Amino acid sequence: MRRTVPLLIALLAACGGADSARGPVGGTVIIAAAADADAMLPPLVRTSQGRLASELLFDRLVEIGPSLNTIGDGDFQPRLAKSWAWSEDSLRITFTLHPDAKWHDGRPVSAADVQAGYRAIMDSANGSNLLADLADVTGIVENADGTVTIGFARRAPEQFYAASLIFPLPAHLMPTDSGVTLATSPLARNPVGSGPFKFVQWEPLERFEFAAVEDHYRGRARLDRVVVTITPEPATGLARIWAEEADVWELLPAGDVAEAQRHPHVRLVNANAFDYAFVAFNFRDARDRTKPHPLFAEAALRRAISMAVDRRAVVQAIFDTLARPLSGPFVRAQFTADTTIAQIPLDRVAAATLLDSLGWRVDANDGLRRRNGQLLTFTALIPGSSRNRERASVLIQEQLRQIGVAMEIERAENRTFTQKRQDGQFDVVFGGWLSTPSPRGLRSTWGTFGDDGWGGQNDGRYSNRAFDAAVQQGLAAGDPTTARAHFRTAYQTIVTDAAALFLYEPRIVAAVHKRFVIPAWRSDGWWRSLAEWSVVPAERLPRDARPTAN
Amino acid sequence: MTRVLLFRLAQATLVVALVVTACFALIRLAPGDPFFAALEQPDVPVEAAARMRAQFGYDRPIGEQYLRFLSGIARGDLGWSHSRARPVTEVLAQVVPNTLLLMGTALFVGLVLGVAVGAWQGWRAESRLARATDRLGVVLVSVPEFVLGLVMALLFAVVWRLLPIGGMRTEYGPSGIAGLFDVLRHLVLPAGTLAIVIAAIVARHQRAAMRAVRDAEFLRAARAMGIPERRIVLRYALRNALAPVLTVMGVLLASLASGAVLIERIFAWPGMGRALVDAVLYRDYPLVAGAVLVTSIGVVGATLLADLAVWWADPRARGRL
Repeated sequence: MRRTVPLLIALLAACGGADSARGPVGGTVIIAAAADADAMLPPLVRTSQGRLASELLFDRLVEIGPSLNTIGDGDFQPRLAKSWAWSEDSLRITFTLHPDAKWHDGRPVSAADVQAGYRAIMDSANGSNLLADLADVTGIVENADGTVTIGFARRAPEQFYAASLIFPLPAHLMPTDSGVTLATSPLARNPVGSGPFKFVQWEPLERFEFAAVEDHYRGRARLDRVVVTITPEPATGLARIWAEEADVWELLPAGDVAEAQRHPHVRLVNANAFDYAFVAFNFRDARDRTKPHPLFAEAALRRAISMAVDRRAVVQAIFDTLARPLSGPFVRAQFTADTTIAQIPLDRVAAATLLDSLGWRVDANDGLRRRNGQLLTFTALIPGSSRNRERASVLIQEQLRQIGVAMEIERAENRTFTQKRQDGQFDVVFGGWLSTPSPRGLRSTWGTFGDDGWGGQNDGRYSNRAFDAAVQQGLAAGDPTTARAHFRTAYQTIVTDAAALFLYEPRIVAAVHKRFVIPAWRSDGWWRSLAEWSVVPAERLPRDARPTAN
Repeated sequence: MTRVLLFRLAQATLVVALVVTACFALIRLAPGDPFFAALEQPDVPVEAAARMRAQFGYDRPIGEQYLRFLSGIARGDLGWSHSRARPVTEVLAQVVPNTLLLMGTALFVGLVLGVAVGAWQGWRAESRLARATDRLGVVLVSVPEFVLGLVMALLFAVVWRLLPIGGMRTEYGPSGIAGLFDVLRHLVLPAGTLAIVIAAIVARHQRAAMRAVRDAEFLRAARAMGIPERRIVLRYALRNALAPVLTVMGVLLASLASGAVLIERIFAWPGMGRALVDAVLYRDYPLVAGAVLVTSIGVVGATLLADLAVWWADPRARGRL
């Protein structure tokens, strides 16, 4: 695997041809968001708003392209690294940094900054969620010629993807005092980055503001300013969009699409999402996790319940066409997605027959099933913050009642929900995961619970070694076709096991002010194209006026 | 008077201490802590979470944490806000004036409107318009504040585009005097929503009180003396009918404080109610305690003032205080 400078891109950028095709400079985008960024330094970020902020402020060495193929380096684009080269044994990748890349305080980006970014991830005090992704990285070497080499313990198809997760950080501003962590350092509140926008102001839980970097090495962003204003109440956030007080609302609920269409200044943008929702069965007893769950350890019962739930009807009732039923624990935006996985069929008659055969008989008095006097009932844990999952739970409760199964709904406030989920205090949980372009998250979310990064988020403790093996083989495959075949096996295994009811993947429908020209809307982070957004001059609003001073 | 005042002050201090203590304990009993979301992840080493908790003393027994909190109050140090990454006192200094502006405006407008409308309704109780406005008042009292707020926002900001809906200032809006007007424009909807609710409550009490004094002997005597009707209403009837309204002021202030929490959230008003809700959601212990301390002092203090106002307005009440 070798790669040389992507000459064509470099030449285009150098001669300014790409720039002339870009929109006019100027304008302000005001993004209404329901939550604030949790952090702005990449190693500390966990939320969507945090990613938005950190990825506008900081550039990576390389960035995954629109195909989102994480295998090899063919679909990656240069960023702070203008080129890269592999060693003969493929265990080292040497990156040549862009000579014009600078921090927002004017200092050039150097190999030491790459080292600082890597160390920040590896420092356990920072609690970075990228730590596991870089498990195979043995270290970073700053070379005398200014290049930087990343070493790996073993060859792996996603080696380059792992390297792409490192954001260089300004080494000269990193905390050096022993009592100061990255999170409590001045850099965390006044980040100095290398991205197309620079930090201006952050009023936590109120707003934050960035401004275009005039002499950015990739060219100046078209917009002058990006403002994120926190509007905790979604109804108010949307009203601000309708009233032209704000320009972008990222996730429009299905019920508000018709309203959006009534406002001529609003444009709807569609994209695939990376999150999905499911109902996971608990395989372990909530009172004693060493014991099997009294109901759901039995595969036939899980299967009967799966057969009784009309997922398509549930999804349509909640989202109309703005979500699709899942075919397994993956989203369509991932390159391993396979929508041909055979599903457990919807068949309530067969479900009832199966329950009868298991000894769960309908009691004529209340229409509910009992076995040896024990009622077939269980509790579903629902997060209070998710209206969609709450609605899904009510619909599924009714569908299950039709075959004599009583599902109680326990709605929990977010922290309580997370705590109970992690402690396994549920029978079934209406959960949701935000996946990434790489399918490696499957190890943690559905893999057998263990010590080596597997099953850490598998709260229901589903376990099937055949699934684990297929995932492992898929992750080890050197080409996308082979990887897809292995993941197909994994997906089919978990669906046949009825480990969960895989409910839906919503489609992103964003409401955006029409005056913006948007080149692309990436499903792995819509903000990644924000530097290319521009405003049609004739449609500018007063707030689009050029700032007097930056 | 001094004895009464001291007694009420002692009572107020006890109430504040109880509220803050209860809140201090309750927020710690809820699942999670300030670092739960960031650190309770499978890929975060346990020692990282433990180290962070130890840094802020959350690994210590709750009694020790409470003593530390009390000694902090004595030193004027309310701790570090995790959700806003700055000292709690700094956060409160920023948000309390905004809330006072919102609540003060709402209270002033609501009281003036409520007293005026209620007095008129009570004086002209038989007129159709008085009855109709009274029914409207019942509806307004019954409608939850957040519903009223959203309807107001929809009408005035979205449909008619007359007023801004969220925040306290226009992004990149004017400064100076024009900037002040910009703040006032942003204040209209949230303060207006609260004021309508206050006015509706006050009007109902004022109306009843006015009806009660309308046929009182002293007013008949005043009329017999040839005093103009306008003077009778404003000078004699209204003053006598004000006492019951002042009595409900304490309750009204407590309900105003809780209403402000909702309204600040709906209109993204950067005040203390919003900070408190965020702090609870983020399990930001120091900010929750600090905000509750300030709120309870405010509400208890205002109730005390309301009692004193009753003492001033109604000599009959002096014996009861």
